[in-house]
Order: sequence, then C-alpha cells, then structure tokens
Amino acid sequence: MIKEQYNQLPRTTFRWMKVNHLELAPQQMSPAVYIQPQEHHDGEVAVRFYDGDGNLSLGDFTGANAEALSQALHHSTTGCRIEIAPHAKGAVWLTYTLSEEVPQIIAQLQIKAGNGSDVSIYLTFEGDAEQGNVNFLNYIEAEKGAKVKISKIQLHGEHVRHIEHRYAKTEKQSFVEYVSAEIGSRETIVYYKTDLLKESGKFHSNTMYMGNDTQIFDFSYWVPQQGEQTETDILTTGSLMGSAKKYFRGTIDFLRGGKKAVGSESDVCLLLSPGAHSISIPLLLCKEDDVVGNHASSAGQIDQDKLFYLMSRGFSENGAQLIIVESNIRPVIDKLGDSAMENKVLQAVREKMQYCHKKGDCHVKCSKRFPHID
Amino acid sequence: MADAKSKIDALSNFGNVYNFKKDFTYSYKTEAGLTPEIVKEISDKKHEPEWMLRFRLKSLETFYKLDYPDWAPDISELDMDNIVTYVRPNAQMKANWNEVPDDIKDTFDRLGIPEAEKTSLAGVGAQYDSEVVYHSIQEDLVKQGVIYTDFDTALSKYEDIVKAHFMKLVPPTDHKFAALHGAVWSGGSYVFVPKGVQVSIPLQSYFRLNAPGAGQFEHTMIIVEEGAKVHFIEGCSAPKYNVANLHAGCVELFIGDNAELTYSTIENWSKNMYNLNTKRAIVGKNGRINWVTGSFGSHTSCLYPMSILQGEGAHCEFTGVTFAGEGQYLDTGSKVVHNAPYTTSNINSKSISKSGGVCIYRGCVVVNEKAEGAKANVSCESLMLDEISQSDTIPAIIVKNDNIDLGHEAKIGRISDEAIFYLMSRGLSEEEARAMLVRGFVEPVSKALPLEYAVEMNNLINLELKGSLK
Amino acid sequence: MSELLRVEGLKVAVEGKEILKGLDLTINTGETHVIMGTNGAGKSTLFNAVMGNPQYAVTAGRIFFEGRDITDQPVNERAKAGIFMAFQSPIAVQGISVENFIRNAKSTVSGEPQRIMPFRKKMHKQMEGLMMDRSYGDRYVNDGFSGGERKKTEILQMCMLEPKLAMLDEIDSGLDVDAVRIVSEAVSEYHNESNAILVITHHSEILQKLIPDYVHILINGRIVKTGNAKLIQEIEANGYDAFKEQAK
Repeated sequence: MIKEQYNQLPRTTFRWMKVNHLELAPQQMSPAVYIQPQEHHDGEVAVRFYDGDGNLSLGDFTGANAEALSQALHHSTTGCRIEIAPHAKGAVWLTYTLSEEVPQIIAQLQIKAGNGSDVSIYLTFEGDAEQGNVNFLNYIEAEKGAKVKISKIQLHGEHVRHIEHRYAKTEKQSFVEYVSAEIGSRETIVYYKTDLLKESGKFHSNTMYMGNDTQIFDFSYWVPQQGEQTETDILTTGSLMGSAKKYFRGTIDFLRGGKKAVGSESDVCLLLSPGAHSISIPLLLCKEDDVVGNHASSAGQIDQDKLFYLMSRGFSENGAQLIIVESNIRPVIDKLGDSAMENKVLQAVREKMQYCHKKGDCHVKCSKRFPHID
Repeated sequence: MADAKSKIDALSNFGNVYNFKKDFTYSYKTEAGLTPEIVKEISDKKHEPEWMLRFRLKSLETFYKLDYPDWAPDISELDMDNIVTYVRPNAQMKANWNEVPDDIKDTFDRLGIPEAEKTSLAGVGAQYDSEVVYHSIQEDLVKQGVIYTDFDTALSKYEDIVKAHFMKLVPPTDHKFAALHGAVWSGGSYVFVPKGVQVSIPLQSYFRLNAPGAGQFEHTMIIVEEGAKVHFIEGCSAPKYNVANLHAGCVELFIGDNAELTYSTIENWSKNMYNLNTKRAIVGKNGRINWVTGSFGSHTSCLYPMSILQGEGAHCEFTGVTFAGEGQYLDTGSKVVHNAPYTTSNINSKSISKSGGVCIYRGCVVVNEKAEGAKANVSCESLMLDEISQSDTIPAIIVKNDNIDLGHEAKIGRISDEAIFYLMSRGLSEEEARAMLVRGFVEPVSKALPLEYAVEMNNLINLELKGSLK
Repeated sequence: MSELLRVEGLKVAVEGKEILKGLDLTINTGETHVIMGTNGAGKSTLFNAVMGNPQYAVTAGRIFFEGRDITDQPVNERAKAGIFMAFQSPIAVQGISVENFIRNAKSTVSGEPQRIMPFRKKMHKQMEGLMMDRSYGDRYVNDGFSGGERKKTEILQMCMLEPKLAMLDEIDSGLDVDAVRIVSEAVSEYHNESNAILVITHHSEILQKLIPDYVHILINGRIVKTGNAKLIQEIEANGYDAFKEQAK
C-alpha cells in the first residue's frame, strides 16, 4: 500500500527517525457535495461565496502535500471570499459541518485585508461522517498595516481526516494572528506558511490540542522572515492521553537582509499516559546575524510543585490534575475572542477527560465536573 | 601522480570486465576504482583472518547499494579516485613538503608547533618523537592491565574480543560511508580497560599518527569494563593535512556498568577535507559517557556522536563547539537514545559562524517506551559573527513515554552590543572585547579539556577570529 | 489552649539528602512561633513536611495535628484538617480566577458549598484590608502578579480559608515597607485564641505587630535553641555564630 506523505519538513534530517514527514494510509474519498457554510458577519466586510476554482495563485506554496493542495485548488466545492476595505473593521463567522449527507468538504477561503483594516474570522469545524474528509485551503493577503486574526475551533468526530493549508502574505507593518483549538478528528494535519517578507510584519500563532485514543496531530509552521524588524511568535501547547501522537514542526527562517528580526517558538506537551508520543522538530534557520531567535520544547508529566500547591488548598489529586491540564491550554482558549466558541472548547475538553477517565486512558482521574469553576 | 592515475584507469577497466555494478545504482562514476580485488589486497597485506576479509567484501557490496541521503551536505566534489589510491596498502601516505599548502605551514608556525611535529602532522615525515613518549606510557599502562595498541595489532592479538565488537555499534549498513569504512578501514586505536581500573592519564591518539594509512579510515575501539574509568583524546588542534581528502573513520565505544569514558576530540582537519566520521557509544547500567568536541577544520563535516543509553541510570554528557569559517560547511550535532529507565542526558552545543561559513546543528533525542523516569536536556546556542554566514538548528525530539522530563532550547544571535560596550568601558579594544566574548562562549568546552589542549584551542580561536574582524 | 501541632523526632530527606535530623516541636492554639536560622538549615523543609509535600520524605518521627497522627495523610486531607502554608514562591495557575479558586478551596476545606454573592462580598472586604484592587479577584491565580502581589494573594487565601495552623514562609520577603506593614496587620488580626501562626522570617518587621511567643533557631536540621522574642534581637546583633557552635 502506498502511503500518503504530509507536512514534509523544509529541511529534512536523519531518515531513520522517520520524522521528515507524516505517513498515513490513504483515506477513501467520498463524493463531494456543494454546500455553503453557515455564516454571519459584522461590520464592514464583503463576503461572497463561489464554487469551483477560485483561481488562487500561491507561488511556491506546497501545502500539506501536493495532491491535497491541488485538490483544494482545483476541485473545491465551496469557496468564500472575504474582503475588507482599507481602514475598515469587521468580523465573519463561518461554520463547516460534516455529516453523513456531507461527508467531504473541499473548501477555499480567501481573505483580503486592505491597508490598515482590522478583521477577525471565526472558523468552526464540527460534525462527523464515516470516511469524513476536510481539505481546507485558506489564503490570506494582509495589506500594509492590516490586522487579520483567525480563530479556529475543530471539533470533528473520530472518523475524520482534517487537512488545512494556510498561506499568508504580509505587507509592511501588518499583523497576522492565529488562535486554534484542535480537539477532534482522527488525524489533524495543519500546514501554515506565513511570509514575513516586508518590514515590520508580525505573525503570532497560538494552538492548543488535546489528544486521546489514536488521534494524530501534525502541526507544521514555516515563517520566512525577510523584512526588517519582523516578528514571529509560535506557541503550541496541549496534552496527550491514550496512544495519541503529536508532531510539531516549527521553522523559523531568518533570511539574509532581515535585520533586527525576532523569532520565537515554543512547544509544550503534557503526557498523561505511557502510550502517548510527542515528536517535536523545532527548526531555527538563520542567515542573518542581526536577529534574535529562540525556541523551546518540553514534554513531561504534570508539574509536581503545581500539584502540591493545589492540593494544599484542598483540591483532591484528581481535581488538581484537571485544573492543571486546563490551565495549560487556557491562555490559548482565552485568545479565541468568542465566548460561545470558548465554551464549546472547554466543554469538549472536559468531556474528553471524563471519557478518558472511564476508559482508564490517562492518569487524570476526574469523577465529576467542578461546576463552580466556570 | 601520473603514475597513480594510470593505475586507477587500469583498475576501472578491470572492474568493468567483471560487471559488478550492473544491478546497483551509484552516484560516483569513480567507484569503478574501488573493487573487491583492492579490498582483498588490503586484507592480504595485513594477514587478516578470513572472517575480516568476508566482512570487508560484504561491506563493499553494501557501499554500492546505499545512496547518499539528500539531507546531508553536498559532497559532489569529493574525489574518490584520489581516495582509492591511498587505500591501497603500499601507498605512501607521505606527500612532499613542497606540496603542503602555505596556510597549513603558516598555522604550524603561529601555533608554535615544533619542526619534527610539523612534518608528521603534514603526513610528510616519518619518525616523530612521539614514539618515545608513547613507549614510556605503555609501561605504566601494562602494569595496570590496560591495553592500548594500534587496531591492526589488536585484530591479531585479541581477535575474539575484536570480532565480538567490530562494527556492531556502527554496522556497515548504517550509511554509505560506514560501509566504505567497513570495506577499507585501516589503522586506528584499540583501548581495553579492565574492571575497576581508573586510568590516571589521558590516552592520546596523537601517538598513533604514524601508523600506515594514518587518519583516513581509522577504526577506534574502546572497551571500558565494569567500574573502570578512562579519558581518551583524539586529534589535536594543529591542522592535520592529508593528501587524500576523505576521513571516514569509525569510533565504537563500549562502556560497562558503573564505568566512565571521557572522549575528547579537537578536529581540525585541513580545509580541503571531507570529514564523515561516525562515532557511537553504548552505555551500561549507571555508566557514563562524556563527549567533549571542538570542530574547527575540514571543508565539509558530517559528525553526530551518538550515545545509546542501554543500562538503567546511564548518563550522557555532551559539550561541543563548532566553528565554521570561510568555505566551510560543518554539519554536526549529537544523538542520544534513551533505552532504559532513569537514564539522563545533557547536551550543550555551541556554534560560531563567520565569513560565509555554514554551521548546522543536527540533533536527535529519542526517549523510548522503556525509559521510565528519563531526563533529557538540550541547550544549543549559535553565534553569528557577520551577516554573510549561516547557522541552522535542526533538532528532532521523539518522546514515547510519559514519565519523563524533557527540555530543549536553542538560541541564535550575535555578540551583544551591550556586552561589547561594557568590556570596552573597562579598557578593552573592540577586537579584544569580541575575542574575549567568543572565548567565553566556548568556555564549556575548553574547561573540559586538559590544559595544553585548551590553550591550543584558544590560540586556534584567536587565529580564526583575527581573520574575521571588520 | 490546646495542642495543635506536635512534631516528634522528625527526620526529613529531600532527593535522598537528609535535611531535618530529628526535630521536636509543639505548637498550641493561641501561640505565635517564629523559626529562624541559616540558609539551608531546613526551615522550609519543615513546613513542606508538615504540609505533606510528597517530595519531602519523612524518614523517621511522626507529625500529630490535634492529637491525630497525620504523618501519612495526603496533602489535601491536611488542608481540610486546617493546615495552611503560604508558599515562598507561589506558582501561577492559569485558567482559574482568584475568586473561583479560593471559593472552591473554601467549599472543599469547610465542607460547605459557598454561595457566590456572600463569598464575593467577604472576599472583597478582605482585599480592601490588604489594599488589593478588586480586579485581582478576576485575574488568573498569580498569573502575571509581582512577587508582592503573590504574597498578598497567599494572605488573602489564609484569611478566607481560616486555617487552624497558618505556616508563613518568608511572607515578608520581596515586599516594600508599606506592604510588609499591611501583611503584618492582616496576620495579626487573623491570629486569635483558637488558631496558631508559624512564621519563617529573616527580618523582624513582620513581628512588630505579631508578638512571638516562641522563637526557635534551626541550624543544620535541628532546633538548637528555643527562646522568646529577645532571641531575635540577639540574632540581629550577633548573627548565628554562637548557635552554630551549639549545632556541632
């Protein structure tokens, strides 16, 4: 069987480690159905839906892999184009739902933010289907001084393969911010490339995940920093139970000429069962001396000091552990910026913990929710 | 030289007649020069046992089958013809003093290397005083039951032990140049430290410089038995010039329970060399391996000392500095595999790039399912001395057990202006300030070396820096 | 007055190294005890052992609280029993606000669910007394708090949880003059005939309001001298040298 390869590293390494890309058995494709996502918006944004090829030209952007990118580019069944005029402000909510009737979503989302504009996009992915598939291509153009924020929550059921390619081009002084909560799907494959080629471009990404059973999360970020005084800050944090696996591939790429650039990435993983695997490949590439770059990666169990502190205030071991697991991902959830979405995520997280406790899949045993902690 | 070339041409034809290569894909047309016949010749001349010849031939087959990985540095300029010439046993490693490049001779002068040493280091001269020094140390070691000899001798005198360990840690199938090594290895060191013996003086491979086939395809094997302790130093800071420009050595270190080995290396191969050395250690229960590495030379390097922590409580300590200057591409790093409970590792790697040099830190930390309670820490720091160089950090971390503690961090930047300002405000010139800061940067390595090496290393850095300051 | 804490022949090891080498201490209700001593002597170790930190292993001796042997009890049971420790370096816990955290702890420790409004009112009053802005109630526990703000949050917790034994580990370090005064007043107000305070400090300012009944000098894992408040002046004047001799 020929396996599919996703999220190839921009710079490969020792082959025996088998980390240069993710290999998955091919997923059967169901027929694609044209659907329009649920949508509402606020402020001065223009939202237009289209089907078929959106005629996107993405240069040498490779996406999660060539086949999936090509499918998203040329065979999409639902396209959405969001435009914000210069200096305008607005927000758009989009919800993509899988079901047995709509088992496959191949979608495009284009966002063009004019000079000095400020737009927030809220994406919700939910639902489940046997052979469920999502192949989502997101293309962002942030003009000079624009602010684009994309908050995403992904709560698919356990039969779905969720692939998202995201490419952002930034002009001078623009700021692109991603906040993502990845909780569902059997496989979540995310490939985010952000070109900070112009002066003072900024990119922040905060992702939280929570894996159980045999879930796989593969996060790939690549940020070439060519402009002067550009800034990158990537944080990925979450916990793994059961036999879940997480891959973090972060590439901070300081190109020559990008003086005074700053780049930082951090990958934190709480391991809550012996079968969980954390794989972290934080690349730091540098061709320019006048920069400051750093990355950090850590994995381990719950901090004993934190546990002790909480228990000294009366919380049981189980209760304290639940608080700590949530505390680890809370900073990301809080940044989503939409309380309905935040609540959905918190609920999904707590349900997962309960489910894992019943299954004995994690060290965190929580017998009841804490209604007062809300 | 013309003579050698025509010999190679003849060999190419010989190989083609027998069509050994028709089923294999290979990347070098000059591989035609390296045939089983040559390998047999090497083995015969050394009077090796049958099993070693078979091993060499099998390795040669593997060499043809394997390809060169695409993530690794470019070695398309490596001249295999030249290599083949010097692989043959009666080839003279000695070049002509006139042919030794000027900058090598210059460095000898500046480092104050004595005349006799120069010729030896340049692969030119024959006998060097080190023989005398070497022999007196031998007596001491023999008293303690320590064996320190060249590898060819070890193969004949201690055949059983060698056979049990030879290329078991680094099998020829590991990668293309391990296979090449398996086919044409020659010379090297063998150290055996018996139970409980603490060897008080560091053993230096320096003494073995004059062995035939010196430097190129050496095989170093060190066995430290239970409770024993030894410090082995490989190389020296003076540039080692070699006519044949490939170093595909292999170092296999076996550390027993409660034993400790410190393996220090200062690699300063001349700037035409390709350094594709493979070093690997396996550590038993509560054993300890300390790597101390300074990589300064060679044109292109692929160097990733690997530690396999096999026994409970085993520990690996790695301190390394890599300095890539003009025209150099140094791809180095460190690999650790935690295979047992409560194993610990601490990796501290520093790199400096200047004048267009390229430094790559390529690391790997694997904490396997059985490594309950393991702790691993990696700290990488890269210093860029100008805007035309390159420094990349490519770490891969795999964790397969939850009861562990793993931290990894890396930083990159340049010498801070504040630091320079501070030192200058205390009277140092800008040049002196930079040199002091760079020496401070590499201090963890110099601290771990015996004094004379540390001094030499600092001199080396000063020389390197003098070329770079604006 | 009744016995609250009794420690007998306590030996405690941390990471295999023995820190407390046989310590005896009795604290009764209504008392204030101060522990002073050289760095590394074992003062924080004693607190952690009484609180039940699993990283501090009791290798010999017993700990009694209100006559019951608690040596093997888990941490949260001891909290419910009425033991409180104000940490020297309190950790941040994101995701739970100060108010919710304390209210929840109070519910657990007292065994009675706390109604939101009355609790909030009470907490705000305490915060006022500590010169803490109400907004801290909504912030995540210790998240982004300065050292001084964290210490005040510890005292706030003490006041709200109403423990029988409050162990304060260098509650005055890192605080400015005003903050030290505020914290001393709060602790002094809290102290009454039915509870007891155990303080580790290097400075005497905190003890201006809080008059100690007993001062213990801890050196090298043992209490070498117990006296009254005058001992503090002696230490301030002459240091610990005289007592170090005794420790040998």
